[in-house]
Amino acid sequence: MQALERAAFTDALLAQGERYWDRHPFNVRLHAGGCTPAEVRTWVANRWYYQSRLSQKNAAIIANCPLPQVRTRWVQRLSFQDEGGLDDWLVLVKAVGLTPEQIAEPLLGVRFAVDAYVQFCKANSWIIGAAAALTELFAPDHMADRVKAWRAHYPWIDEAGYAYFENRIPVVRNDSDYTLGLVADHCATRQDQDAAIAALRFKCDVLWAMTDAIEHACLTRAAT
Amino acid sequence: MSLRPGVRFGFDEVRQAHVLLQPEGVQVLNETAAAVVRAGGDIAVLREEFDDVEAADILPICAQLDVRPGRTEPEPLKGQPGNPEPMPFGLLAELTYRCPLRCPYCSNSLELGTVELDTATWLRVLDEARALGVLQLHLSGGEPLARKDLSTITRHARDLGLYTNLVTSGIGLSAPRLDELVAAGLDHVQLSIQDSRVAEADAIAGIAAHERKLAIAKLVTDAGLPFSVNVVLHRHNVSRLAEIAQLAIDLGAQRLELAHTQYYGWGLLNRAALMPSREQIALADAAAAEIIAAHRDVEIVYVRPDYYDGVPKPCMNGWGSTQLVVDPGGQVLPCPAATVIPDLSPLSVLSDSLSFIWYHSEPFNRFRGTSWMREPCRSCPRREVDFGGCRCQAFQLTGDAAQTDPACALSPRHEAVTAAIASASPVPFTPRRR
Repeated sequence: MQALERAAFTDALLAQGERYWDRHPFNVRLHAGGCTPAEVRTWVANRWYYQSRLSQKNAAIIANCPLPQVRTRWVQRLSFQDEGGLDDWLVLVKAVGLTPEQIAEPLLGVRFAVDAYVQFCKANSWIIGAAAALTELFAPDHMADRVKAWRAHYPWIDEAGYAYFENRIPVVRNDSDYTLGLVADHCATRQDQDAAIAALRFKCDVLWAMTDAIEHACLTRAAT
Repeated sequence: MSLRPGVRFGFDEVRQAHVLLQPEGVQVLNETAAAVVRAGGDIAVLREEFDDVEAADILPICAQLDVRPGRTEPEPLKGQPGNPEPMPFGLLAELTYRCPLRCPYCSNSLELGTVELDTATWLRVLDEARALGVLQLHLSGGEPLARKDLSTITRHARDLGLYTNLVTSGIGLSAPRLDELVAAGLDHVQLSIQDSRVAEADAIAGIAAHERKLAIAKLVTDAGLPFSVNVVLHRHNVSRLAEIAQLAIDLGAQRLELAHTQYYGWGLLNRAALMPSREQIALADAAAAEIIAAHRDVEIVYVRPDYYDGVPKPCMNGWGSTQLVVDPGGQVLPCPAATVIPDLSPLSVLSDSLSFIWYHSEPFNRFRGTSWMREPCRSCPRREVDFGGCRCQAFQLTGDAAQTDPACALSPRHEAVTAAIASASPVPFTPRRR
């Protein structure tokens, strides 16, 4: 079967943005200022679990990759997270009034979703794992909107808490351009292109399922 | 061309030996046999090279290898010499577990994973397999046609000199798809047939497959591709063995494999529903002998069921000796059923080289040779013939993969097999999950 032209392939990847979690009702409410401090904290605390597993996910992609030039580039993601990124996240945790102990246990649904993502990257070829990381294509605008909305709606959050997003936004733009090129270069057959698109859908579903779990916890708590 | 269609003559640079690449396997030739093939059995040509050669000396070789008149030069099968023995001859590439059919005797695992290797990794696996000494690639699954990169994989394999055999249900093989595969250099097609009658065949396949398969067989023969038919026998079709064989011959099969079900995966799950009676087996044996005698021009292989014989089948011709399997997600196994052995912990092509896995990994070394054997295998004169039978079957029926295969009459657990025969009954079967 014929492979897609490069532009058609990257368009198909970009089209998965329809499924990105910025459209989740909870995220829409969070950005519109409709969340209580407890709900913001639930989001931050659970999002931390995702954050805390990112380096293991990235290490799995590196471990499965036979190409030195890709590994040396991808390893920068480990240093970004492990030499500052995680600390910046803990600053956000503090800025919303949580302690590290309070974020130790994620919601079950969040744990299942995130663990499935790490397992996906361990079990699949590196290029399919890399394709799953392409939610970054949709992340910079979402993150920029988040910072703007939170500053406007949740003035009780300490300004220091935004360091992670401020540092990550330029990096993620750069990373996503690189990764899109990489996936387009290495997915040369229709088989791999379809698998890459499916991987990105899967990743969108991981983020969506996390948010479902967070929303469910917030709504249940509100009702009791 | 001095060989029958579907056979290739080459010089394997890895083994430093001449070889015949055939649908059913690889044959390593000694210098004499290689010279006979090269000369197309022409005694005058051979006398230029060898003194005192007589026609009577080469006739058995010509007959055995089916050498026909005409000179043939071996194609170079590139590689580096120096690998230690054993070197594998065949790679069974399970490209996907996806399959449109739902045959209840499928030997795939009950837990069908959905992860599949990407194209580039498969191409690398083929490079590593050739370097290791592999000469024959079985493109299998599931249904390998479900992979959209099948012709890319086939072309790469042929560029490496591998003999490429497509093991297929045929479903998904359109004329353009076949053209693509032929252009990629596909050597041989092995098509499965479920039965000679439409309703019965489709009941086993779980979809209306039979008529399509007949059309696909015609596509394959029209394309001039050498092709085999393979039929899995069980209680629901075994009484029509002769009729099924005739259908395969009429379809133009050059080779026909009539094999009783082997009970792994879905086949084991459905064993009671699939197992024939002893009377059915006896009738099938007679029918097979008759059809083999009547069709000397077709290579007919009849594989008897090990449960009834008291003699186990030789496990992969020796664990880790001639074949290796890469499953859809990249696990490397000594046998396609080996995932049933729970503590085997196979390694993956994603993290290790095929060469390391073949020579040095624990799963490949565990049952290599005969030193792992216990009695009655250890002192058995057949220990290098059947290797104690099938490790996976030993595990499935005794809970211990190092036991003698209970299919062997000498096994203290042979009653596991005889009891199974007694439990055969006309119960409904569970179709394989898609």
